[in-house]
Amino acid sequence: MAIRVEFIKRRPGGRITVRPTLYEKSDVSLGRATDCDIFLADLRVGLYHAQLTQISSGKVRIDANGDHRVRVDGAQVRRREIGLNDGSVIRIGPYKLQLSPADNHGDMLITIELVEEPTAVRDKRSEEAVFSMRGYAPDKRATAWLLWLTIAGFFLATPVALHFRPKDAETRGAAAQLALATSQHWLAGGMSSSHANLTNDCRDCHVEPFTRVTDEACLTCHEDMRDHADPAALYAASPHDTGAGKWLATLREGLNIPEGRCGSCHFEHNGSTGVVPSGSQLCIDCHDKLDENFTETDLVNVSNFARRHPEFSPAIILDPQAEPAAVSRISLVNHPKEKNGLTFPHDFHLKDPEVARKLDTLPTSLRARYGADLDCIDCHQPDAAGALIKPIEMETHCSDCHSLAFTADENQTRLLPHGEPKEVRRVLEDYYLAQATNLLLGDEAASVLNRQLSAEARTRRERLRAQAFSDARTNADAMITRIFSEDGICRKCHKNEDPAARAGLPDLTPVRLTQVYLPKAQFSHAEHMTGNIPCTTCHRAETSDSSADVLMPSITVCRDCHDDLSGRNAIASDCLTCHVYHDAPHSGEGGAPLMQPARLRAASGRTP
Amino acid sequence: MARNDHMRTSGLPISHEGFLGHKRYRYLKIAIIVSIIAIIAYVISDVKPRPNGGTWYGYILGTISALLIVWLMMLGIRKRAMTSGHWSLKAWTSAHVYLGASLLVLATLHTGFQFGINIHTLAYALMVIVILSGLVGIYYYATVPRKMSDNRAHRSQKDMLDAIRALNNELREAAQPLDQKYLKDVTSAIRQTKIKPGLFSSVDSAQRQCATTRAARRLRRAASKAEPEMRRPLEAVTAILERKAALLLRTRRHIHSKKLLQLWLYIHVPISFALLAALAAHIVSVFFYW
Repeated sequence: MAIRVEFIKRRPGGRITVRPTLYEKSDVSLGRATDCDIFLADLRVGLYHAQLTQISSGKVRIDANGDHRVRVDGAQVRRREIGLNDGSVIRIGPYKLQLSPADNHGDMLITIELVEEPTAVRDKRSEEAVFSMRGYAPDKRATAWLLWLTIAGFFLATPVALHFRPKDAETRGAAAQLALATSQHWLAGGMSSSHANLTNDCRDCHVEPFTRVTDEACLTCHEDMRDHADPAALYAASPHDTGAGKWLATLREGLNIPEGRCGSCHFEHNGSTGVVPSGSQLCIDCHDKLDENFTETDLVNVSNFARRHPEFSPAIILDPQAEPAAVSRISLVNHPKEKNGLTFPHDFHLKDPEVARKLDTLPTSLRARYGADLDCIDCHQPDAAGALIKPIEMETHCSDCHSLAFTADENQTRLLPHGEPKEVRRVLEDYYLAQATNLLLGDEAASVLNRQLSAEARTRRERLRAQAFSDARTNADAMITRIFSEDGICRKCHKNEDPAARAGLPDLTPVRLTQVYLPKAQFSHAEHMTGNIPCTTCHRAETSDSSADVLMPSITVCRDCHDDLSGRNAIASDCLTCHVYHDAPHSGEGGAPLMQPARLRAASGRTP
Repeated sequence: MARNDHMRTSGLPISHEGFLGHKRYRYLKIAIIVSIIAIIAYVISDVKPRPNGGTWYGYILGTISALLIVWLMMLGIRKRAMTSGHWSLKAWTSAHVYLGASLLVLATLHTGFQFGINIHTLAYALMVIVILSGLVGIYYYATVPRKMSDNRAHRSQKDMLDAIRALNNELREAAQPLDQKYLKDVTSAIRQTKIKPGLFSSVDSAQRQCATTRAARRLRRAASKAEPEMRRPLEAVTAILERKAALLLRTRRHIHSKKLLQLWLYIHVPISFALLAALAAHIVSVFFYW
């Protein structure tokens, strides 16, 4: 028995080369070791992989050595007997072995063919991938498009599309919720606290796309806002565009943005800053050279508080009797004197020991209201907001000491009514008539015998009665004359500019005190009365001996602390520290008209 | 020799002027001047109520910045069309780099330092990411290519792979006499060698974890202990494995360099498209609700 081994190699073009070997024995070893009978050069083949033994003329046994296995017809086996005519295929590594009977009887033929490439086929794509960015990062183009679409869709297309949704219902639908979620990202900055409730729907203010917020939108809520002055005057006073300004004005006109809009001064979406403008530049734009632009004005040019602001001109009462009440604004430079009908020396009330003595005569309950001496605060009390001082009222602030009691006994005190001269007469007459009546009633016991009185006695009684009532009137008249006289109780405080008598009464000039000396300025006493700063720091009351003195401090007093020029440690103060732009309602009938949309104002300004 | 030295220090031959130094840094100078002017104007322009993108100066800076961004992005189109001369691609790239960097100043001033969680700050943040990734790219462009060509030693990428393949074949041949217990290391060195390092792994760690390195180490140890007749084939295989490991190191360094040269673009380009969308949303939103 012999074994013939044929190595088959297929060449390009279908040629086959066969390398035959003959072994004159009945078993052959297969393996990668060079001393094996059948040398199979591949690392998947074991050094001494298997043994083939011919058992009979038609049968062969294959034994794998050690841990090796061979595949026979697809099955991994360790040992197997195979018929030579079975046509079985044995695989060892990349080699295919087929057995068949050889031509010589009893011999065996083994054909061996390398059926797998020992190395993997070169894959150009995977080779390029070694040097490419594949596996490191996703494709640039795909990522770029994905990001572009995501951002453009969520932050641009969605909010723009949702702008055109119908007005939101009370309970917000899905569209409104989505609009809220997307357009929130359009908010460039926080809303000011006063508009914080307007963040739900941008369209509340931004009515038209690509149009600046209109004044109409602002005035829907701010309907009672007053203008700064008459629109025609404002237009005349505002500086006229020159050069680049003209070009900008044309640009603004082209973009349909009128000048002097609410939004020109009030900037939203800057958090807490901007809605109420700070700084003085907006004011100075007009007020710096106001007289040049607007010759009708009697206002003085102002450009800063420290150097170019006029001395204060308080509201001065020159005629206490004028109807309606009138004030004149007179600069403190001119040392104005008031005619308010009042006699009141501040220095006396603050310093004279007589005042302290008078206080000590007060009943205990009243005395407790005052300190050792009279203080400013005893009469001048701040209002609820602490900003201004409550008006002085005779009943509240004077009458503890300056009592109008004209008679008092242990039972009751009778007071003269204040400010009502006619009532004074009635009260006095009533009092004296009652006195007379009481006197006459004192004879009541005798009246029983009235009928029995002689005619003479009755005449005497009548005369007595007439005398009593006439005395009452005389007493009342005398009393009136006394209290209204030069040294009377009224004239202690009341000046009488016009000593005419009216309706049988000496007329008193009414006292008319100024309530607000600087109506165009917002001053808060509360903010200034810190650190025990006494009133007299600003108001020189201690040296004032006449109520004609105007005790308003000069601007220089303010300037001790307030400054708007840099380079000094002072409280930074701009125009709006004291003034407001939109005319406050308390300035009375002389106030500016209600705010109108910029377009309308511009029209009324240009055609005065 | 002197010429050679120059090449060593600059990394570039004398005749070659890179895009960074184009025309004696013309665009760097322009970018610096523009930035300084913008900063000075920012300081002296007393805008009310506060510095903000919506003031007159904010609009000016915003317009310049937006146009600049669009122009910078056009490099992607421009580089696909080759021309020369005044607006050569080199000039364009030089301007792209320096004017792009100046955007960091212009756009920051445009924000007025007001940031928030909104589309406006998103656009700004994306722009900063794009610019910073670009600066990273420039750094690598300036430093990596020389190292890369030193490492490559005139070999092409294909050469590297072919050499590895040849060494694998040599391994297959040389490992034939080896005992089965060594074969596992050799086969895994041939089959399981992952040439490409992971995204975040360094060349060194890829080298340490490599099947070839491991096989070389084990077989060298085995060779020192082996029977005299097995020592020779083991040493032969080990020598091949070590040659392959050295080649793999070069290849991995090459891949790493390519990664450095390209990876920043995978941020720079997609994020700049994201920026384009955010910029459009920023501009439209600002004027839509003016």
